[in-house]
Amino acid sequence: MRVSLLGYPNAGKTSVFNMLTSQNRKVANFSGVTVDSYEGNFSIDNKNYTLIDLPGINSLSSFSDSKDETVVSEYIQANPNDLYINVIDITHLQRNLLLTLNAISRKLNTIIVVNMVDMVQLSLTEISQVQKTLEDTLKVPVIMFSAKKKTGLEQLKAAIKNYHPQENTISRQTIDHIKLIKSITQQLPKLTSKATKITTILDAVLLNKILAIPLFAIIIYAILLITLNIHIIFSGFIDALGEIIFVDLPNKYLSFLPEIILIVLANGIGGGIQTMLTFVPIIFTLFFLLGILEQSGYMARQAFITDGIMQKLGLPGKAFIALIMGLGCTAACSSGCRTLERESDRRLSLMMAPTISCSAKLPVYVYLCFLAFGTMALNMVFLLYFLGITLTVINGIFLSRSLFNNGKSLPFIMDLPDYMLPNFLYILKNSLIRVKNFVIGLGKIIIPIIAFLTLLSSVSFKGEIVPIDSNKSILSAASRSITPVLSPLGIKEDNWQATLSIITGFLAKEMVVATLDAVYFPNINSQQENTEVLILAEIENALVDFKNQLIDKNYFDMFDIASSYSLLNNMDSKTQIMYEKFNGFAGIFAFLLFILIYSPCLSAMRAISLEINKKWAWIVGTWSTFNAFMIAALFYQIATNLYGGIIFSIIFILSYTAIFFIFKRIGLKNTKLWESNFVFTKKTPD
Amino acid sequence: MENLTAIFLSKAHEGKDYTIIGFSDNLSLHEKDRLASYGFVIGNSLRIIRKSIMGNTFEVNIVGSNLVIRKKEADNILLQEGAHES
Repeated sequence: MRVSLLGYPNAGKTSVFNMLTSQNRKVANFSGVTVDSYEGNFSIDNKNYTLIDLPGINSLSSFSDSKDETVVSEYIQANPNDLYINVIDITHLQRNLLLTLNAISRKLNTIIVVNMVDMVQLSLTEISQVQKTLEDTLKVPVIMFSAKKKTGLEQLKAAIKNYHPQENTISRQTIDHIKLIKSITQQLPKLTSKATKITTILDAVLLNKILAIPLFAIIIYAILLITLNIHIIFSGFIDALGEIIFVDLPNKYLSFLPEIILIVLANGIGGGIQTMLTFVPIIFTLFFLLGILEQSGYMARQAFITDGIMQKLGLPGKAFIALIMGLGCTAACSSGCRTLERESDRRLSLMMAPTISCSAKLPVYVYLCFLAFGTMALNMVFLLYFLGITLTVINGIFLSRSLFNNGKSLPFIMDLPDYMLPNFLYILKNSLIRVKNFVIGLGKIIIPIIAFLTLLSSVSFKGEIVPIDSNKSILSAASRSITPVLSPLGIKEDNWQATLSIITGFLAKEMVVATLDAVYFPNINSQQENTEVLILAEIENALVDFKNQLIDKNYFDMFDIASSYSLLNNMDSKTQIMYEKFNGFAGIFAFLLFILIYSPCLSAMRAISLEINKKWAWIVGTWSTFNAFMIAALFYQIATNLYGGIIFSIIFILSYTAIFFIFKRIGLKNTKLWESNFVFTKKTPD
Repeated sequence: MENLTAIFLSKAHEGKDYTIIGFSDNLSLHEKDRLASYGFVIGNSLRIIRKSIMGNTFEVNIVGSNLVIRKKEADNILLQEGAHES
């Protein structure tokens, strides 16, 4: 016989699932939307049962644009004879009973499990009173349960074993359900939990008209500070250590290998691993913070505050935090979008994400701005961030009116769950698992590519081995052939290094700087290198740097943090070279604009393809690269050349107008396609 | 004397109790069905807890729990002051 768990999100279905099946399934709804349902087995007196843990839902209505609700609604229609265990949160009994009555009035076989009994202070008599009242009124078995205290399991098993359907005369009308709920409530003692009381107090502060936005800004700033600090402190250390372990050590001890293999192995694969590991601190931090925000319940409050503004962008309030995460890492932003119920919302958010300057772009900005703009450097960095956010908004408005102009959206109604102290250990473990899976999956893609590119940049067409900054390598030839395409941006033919850094930046934005620095200034930087690599000395240096980062810094000044970036040495000699290569400030700024806007890196692309699909990842990549080209070129042309500027402005306006209307047509046609998962499954209401 | 004027939820006042007396014609059957599953049905009562600073979102207490709805829906729900049992 098949038994299915039905109920609101966070009512405790998965806990009941775990207790019945003695499994350790992860608790559902950690990050908002669970789309899969879990299946398990249990037995009572040698009889076997299948148990299905359905996603938490707010409504059994078949008119829904939430994937979860559609899944459950279809499941119920397909399986009307399942035994449904309706798990209820006693601290919100009235609301939970709405779903219950809906299920019972549809003649579903139901057993009610009243969960979280430990959260309300009730005497044993009162508990029996609740049970009896519910049983008598609803005519179904009622089990008083506490997943936390592990009570009620045996009674539940007995109820399942002895279940037989009973007649009930409950109407299908919601207003009758509400009247019934009110009459039940009048017969019961007060069922408010401490959590609800605390929530009321906290919300009075956090959602207070005057305090809400300042407090919200402080929380966002705290998220950014924590993320940036962890990133700078740890990734610098991991970068140094990674270089020692994966690059220097192989170079020293595997020197018997043929040179080209050593280069690919150490600089290529080793360098690839080194770069990838630097992602880990920031992705971990963001997953962790996202988990805390979600579990604590603040995420819903944040949506309340930001929904008004987000609506102008055509996005729900929940998307705001996901986009903020993009300041840390676009890949984490993709994960944050998981909490958005509508697929089109997720697609739109992901399409907006690239222009939010992720933390990997910060070193690029800092490096180039210090090189080009001297004392104005930090202001320019700030300007770039500001531009990024402005472009994100413009992009959002443009897209939501064109490509995502899909008309009707169902009423937006959001639950405000009680505040809860997050289970930090659980979130920690979960974040580690997610990071591990992410890195391994990413590694399989990125490391071969880096190895291949290293190979191409180290050999010439004749098969000779060349240094990485040589213009004889295959890769530099490839870059040179592409460079003319970028000439509207002011990238001159002999500046193939810029093109190369854009290509490597596709793998990881940090590589833009690494590439630029390596190919422009190989001699300046390699003064410290010698053939005898003293590994222990290097390790010691790395540790000392790490200690300095940890202790000797200002944690609260973001620009101070940014300028401690290590590649900013020997700046004077570098500046002149860069200025010539890029054709002045205009050229450098155009390049910066391009980096700001173009395709997200491979790890972000991968995250997008996991959230939506591969095709969408490429669409996002193409759209952002196109925009990067157009905007950077527009700037360069206007900045350097009157006639070129006018002509390009006209091209710019015409192109985007055309695109707007084309998108509008596509958007309307695709409405069915995107929402087809959630199309109304019944033609008439019941 | 009880105030029997009907107002839309978007114009309702914080901290007060209301009874739902109707919906505007703009709402489709689908939308009404969805609202119904949250307790927004004619005859049910609710309390406005707070409005967001820009007036776009509303926190209401309905069927014992707090929910957030948008102005777009609030503009279509007709209320009468006081929590009647009708």
